Amino acid sequence: MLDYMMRTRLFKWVDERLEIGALIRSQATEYPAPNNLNYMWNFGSIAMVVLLLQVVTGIFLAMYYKPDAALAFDSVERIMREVNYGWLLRYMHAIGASAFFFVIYMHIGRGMYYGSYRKPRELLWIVGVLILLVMQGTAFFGYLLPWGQMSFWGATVISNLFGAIPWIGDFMVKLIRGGFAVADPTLNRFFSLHYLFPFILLAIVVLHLQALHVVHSNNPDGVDFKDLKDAARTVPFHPYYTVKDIFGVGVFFFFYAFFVFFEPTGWGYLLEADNFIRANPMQTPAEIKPLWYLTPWYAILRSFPWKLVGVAVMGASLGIVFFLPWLDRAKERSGRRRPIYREMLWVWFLAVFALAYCGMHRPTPALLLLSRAATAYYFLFFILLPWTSRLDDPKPEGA
Amino acid sequence: MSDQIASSGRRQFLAMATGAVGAAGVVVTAVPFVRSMQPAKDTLAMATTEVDISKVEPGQLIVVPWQGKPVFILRRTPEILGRIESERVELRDPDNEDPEGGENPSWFLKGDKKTRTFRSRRPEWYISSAICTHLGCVPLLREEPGTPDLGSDWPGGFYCPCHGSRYDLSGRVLAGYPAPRNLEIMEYKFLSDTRVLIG
Amino acid sequence: MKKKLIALLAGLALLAATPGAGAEEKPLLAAESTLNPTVLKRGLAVFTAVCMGCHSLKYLHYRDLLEAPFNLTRKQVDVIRAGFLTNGLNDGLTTMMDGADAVAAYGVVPPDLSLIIRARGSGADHTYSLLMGYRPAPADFKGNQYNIYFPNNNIAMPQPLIGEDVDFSAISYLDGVQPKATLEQEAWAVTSFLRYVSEPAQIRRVQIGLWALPFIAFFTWVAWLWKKAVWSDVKSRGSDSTAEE
Repeated sequence: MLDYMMRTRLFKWVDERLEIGALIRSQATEYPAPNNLNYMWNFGSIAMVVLLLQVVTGIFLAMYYKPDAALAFDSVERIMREVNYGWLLRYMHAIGASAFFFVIYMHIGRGMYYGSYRKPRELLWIVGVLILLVMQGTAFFGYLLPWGQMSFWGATVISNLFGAIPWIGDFMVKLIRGGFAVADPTLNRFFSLHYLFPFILLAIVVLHLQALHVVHSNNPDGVDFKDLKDAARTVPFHPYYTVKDIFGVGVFFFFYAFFVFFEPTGWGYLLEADNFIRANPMQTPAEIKPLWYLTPWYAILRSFPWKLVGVAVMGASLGIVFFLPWLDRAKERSGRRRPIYREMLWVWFLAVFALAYCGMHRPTPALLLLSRAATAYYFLFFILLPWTSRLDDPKPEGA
Repeated sequence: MSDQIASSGRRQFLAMATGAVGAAGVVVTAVPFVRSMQPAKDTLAMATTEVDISKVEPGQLIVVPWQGKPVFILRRTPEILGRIESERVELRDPDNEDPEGGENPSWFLKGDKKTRTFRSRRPEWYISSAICTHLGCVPLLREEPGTPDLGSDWPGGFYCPCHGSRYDLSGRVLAGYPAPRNLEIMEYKFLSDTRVLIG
Repeated sequence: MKKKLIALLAGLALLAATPGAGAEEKPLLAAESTLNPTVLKRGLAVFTAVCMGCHSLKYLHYRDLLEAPFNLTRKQVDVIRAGFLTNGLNDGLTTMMDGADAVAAYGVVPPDLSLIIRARGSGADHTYSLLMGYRPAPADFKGNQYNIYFPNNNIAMPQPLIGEDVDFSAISYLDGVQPKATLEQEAWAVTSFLRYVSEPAQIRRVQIGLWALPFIAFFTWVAWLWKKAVWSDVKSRGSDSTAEE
């Protein structure tokens, strides 16, 4: 179908002036992809669809949302009740945010398991981690906008953290808040930044794709093909993976639609009860916590009784991820061929789950212990990797 | 999993099928987005405004907002009504032939001579747009006839301070002034003797 | 690998089963609220007759009562409106109680109830239990009012409903309802009403979902067939033949 379209006169007219045909050929119809990718490779394309969904729903919501502390909460309820299909826009956007993080975490997990961060894909990995950071910023800014109790107090706690930075801490906090406390100036600028960041994200995604297309995709065996034209191991991206991606998007939409139409609050995980109460600067809710996708870092933060240490370690937990390509010294790339690495990585995933659980609940002594243990393992996994990664290497004695 | 390679015909058919269902899905999904841009329920509710006229004295003018725009409600005395019938000023459009740039209600369009002269459902109550048909200012009520600045044959009416346009006490524009049309009569109805629904 | 997954899930299930904070409170009653229009109208009657003495519903307007699921006539809405201070149909249902008076009498401003069901994790169960939870205070109780479902059993609101609080036969928009209702019936009706008010879109939302999901499933199925057709000519895959889909 695509090559039929590419043979029309209209297409040729455009192609002569835009060279779009060459682009389609190099990026799709003649772009070689491994022929053995499994469904864990679908999450990248799904993430792009979710990003698009967020931008579109966000733009339509912004037609009615009012970024003013006195009006914001009511404007959201107005969207839910008075705007035609406003409730649908709101649910799609809120659930889309959680969906975006779920998809990205699966995408990152795939990368870590199959060694997609290894040479020559280090820059691809770094750009990817950058995407995660911009996503987290976007989510943080966005969550203040409904101006509910959790919005307000979450922003208060997190903006307080910057006060821990020596010398410039106080300056930073006032800069972020635009005042002494989270208030109307904060809301207005967070709205501006929330609108901006996704477009920065789009630009970084383009970089991410560019980096990918130079080195080509990894595959579950972790063995790159030497010859780009090796027909026994490659298929052109179009139609093979366009078709598989479309199917994957369909499966995604099914689960997404389930939440949008039947469980929009996600049992309290997607839309929190406390956020249906207007922000009250005089009264703190029983538990202040971020949404599930930020809870692992929240737990790391709370593991330490000293504010600056907590902030520093939380920052380090994101920073250390950048270095993964150089910490891993194994001969093999993919976890499929590295039984010891595989086990360690599963425990690491478990540690992140444990941290998420701790972040979602009040820090009792038991949970505090758990979050400290999990934080320790989180870092040890990376720190010890230069040595543990070699454990899977074949012994010098030979086969 | 069958070992047969699918024919290109089958592939093309399935490509079309997926495309068709997908396109239908996209169209159906686009509908709520477009609909969301249409006026919201509370905006539409503002399409009509209920006004309590129980406290308007005879001869008194009030200006009320409707759809964000000003509306005159003037309670005309029998003396005023008499003056309208006997006035001798030149009107641009005495019989309301100009469509007036708005949607005139049917009771007005099909009304009898009395309706066309007094330009209202009930002669006692004059209700019209308060927007001068020239460039949009709100005219002032100059009810007294024959004042020094407006001239001895001024029958009483509305005077627009921006560019001098004049209207009689039925909102009909006088000839020789910039405003091209009579003040617009919009739909309204009396819910009772003390309440009128505008819009 | 499978064993890992099972262990992971079992671990999570164990963690999830850990009781959360507030385990010392009584488990809540199940509200089993409904969106049946008849019950919602009864709930509206209870709300306007009793609750609106102190509580507002700012996001529900009088004009909304003219539409589904209430479908009242203009006259019926005007009768309700007559009991309160309003400018017109576009006003929200607002109580006439002054905030300052409320604080003087009860120690707290009665909150707007438009979102009360969504603002509590346990939703309708919380409101229903609260209405049913008033008991005579024990001798050593030092708080305001005694309610067995409220944290610390101490609630500022005096018992609003005791049963037979509203004469339903006097309400013009209710047909065929017994004139008097028990406490359970009143609590159930007003909880259902508040559940509707907290998210009016829920009826439409579920209606759309009931055809949207099958449609998406159908699309995914067709896309699946297409995928299989396109991939049917790829035999062995990867550097070894451990082909994983």
